[in-house]
Amino acid sequence: MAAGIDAGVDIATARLRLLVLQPTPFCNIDCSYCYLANRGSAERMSLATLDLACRRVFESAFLGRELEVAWHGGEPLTVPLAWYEEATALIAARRPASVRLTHAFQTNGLLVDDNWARFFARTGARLGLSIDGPADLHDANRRTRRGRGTHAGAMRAVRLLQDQGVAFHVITVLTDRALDEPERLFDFYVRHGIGEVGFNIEEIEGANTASSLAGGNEAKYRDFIRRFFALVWQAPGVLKVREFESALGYLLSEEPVRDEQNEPFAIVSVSHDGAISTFSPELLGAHHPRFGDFAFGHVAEHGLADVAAGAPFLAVSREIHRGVDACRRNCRYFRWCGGGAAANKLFETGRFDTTETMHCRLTRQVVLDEVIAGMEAHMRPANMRPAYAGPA
Amino acid sequence: MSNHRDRKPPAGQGAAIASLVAVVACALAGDALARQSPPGPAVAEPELAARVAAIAERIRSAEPTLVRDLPPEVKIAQWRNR
Repeated sequence: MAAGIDAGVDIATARLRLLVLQPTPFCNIDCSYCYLANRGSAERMSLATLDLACRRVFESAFLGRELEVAWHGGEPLTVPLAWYEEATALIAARRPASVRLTHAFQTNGLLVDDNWARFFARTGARLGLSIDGPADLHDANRRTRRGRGTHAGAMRAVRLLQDQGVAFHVITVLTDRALDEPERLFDFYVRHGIGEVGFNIEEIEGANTASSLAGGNEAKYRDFIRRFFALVWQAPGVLKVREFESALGYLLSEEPVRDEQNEPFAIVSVSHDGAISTFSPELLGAHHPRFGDFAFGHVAEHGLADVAAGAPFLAVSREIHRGVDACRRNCRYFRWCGGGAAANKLFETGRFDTTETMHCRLTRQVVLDEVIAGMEAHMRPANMRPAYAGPA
Repeated sequence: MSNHRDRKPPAGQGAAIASLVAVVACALAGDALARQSPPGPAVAEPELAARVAAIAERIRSAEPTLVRDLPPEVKIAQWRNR
């Protein structure tokens, strides 16, 4: 790395891969594990702010040849479709010809209708639906502000998108209740024609200060991952699980894994009011006594190079870098992890320059352990295989 | 429970067809070596790196093109909501 190795950004190698735009912090539901404190705010990003954000990003030396624009709220679909029609046209007009751009939406699905489905199909947007499995698991946490379950609405979106031929994946947040039932979850996805799923964990993050997975439930989580991997392995191609795909990819890669959440400007986040941040997207909207609100700049005043030279960014970057370095020196998983998610270190330990967290144990160490063990079990001759934990 | 226990990737399953796990599972299922020479921690627990190297080697022997053809993005950890 060039100048400023312990804090700054090497313009020659930094590559912005993900732009997270927050059209609104508002969410039309009130999940029990949500990390966003201001999800009741109905403020929206103006097209003028979006235009400034585009200018800042597209003029930046950090920009690579491919950029994913992730629309992430709040619930992004609470902003009218007409706004996105203008927004995507504006981004297309500002985009340098050399940059390949894709859009992605993460939604609870409640507002998906035929018009949205046609929009997703026309723009080729990657679409993620948040569904926590069968109704009892989903509705335990994903409720309206009046306490009503949202599973029926989410499943209506599944059927509508499938009818319209719009591809989507599902993100499921795992809480302790789901851990006893990997077979039931697997069956749910298969039965409903869901071909791709990512497992998030209930994280200790932002407004969510406790997790049902903490403490003794880590063993249950390990058992869940072991059993789910067995299910996926025994039915190849039926269900693609992000965690297993990533872990196997890391194991086969000849390059050490790098985590974009702790690489400056690999991810840039812009809030509805134009604040700029980087590293973990969850930092924007959070507050910390030493680092404030993680707004390192504003699109009306700062380019990304200005942000990179500013004291707020440098203070965070230095501490994150020390944390990654500590992981490199102390953790046997570092080669396949890259130093962990910055936001989770901060929210769990109060600092960025720490190492192990519940988040990294569950999402990195346990997953790698169980994928490795599962692979080893299946690579032995049939008569030497242990009683692998998959169902009969 | 579902009855999807066939070891062949199903036709027409969209995104699931591109599953790396599925490709490896099928490659190993047809790998003659997998029935002849046991790798892995049969006697003592090797270091993590050695276990990973053994897995990669076995997969390479079963599907030589796989490691070379990995898409570059698989080398970068994903943000949780992508």
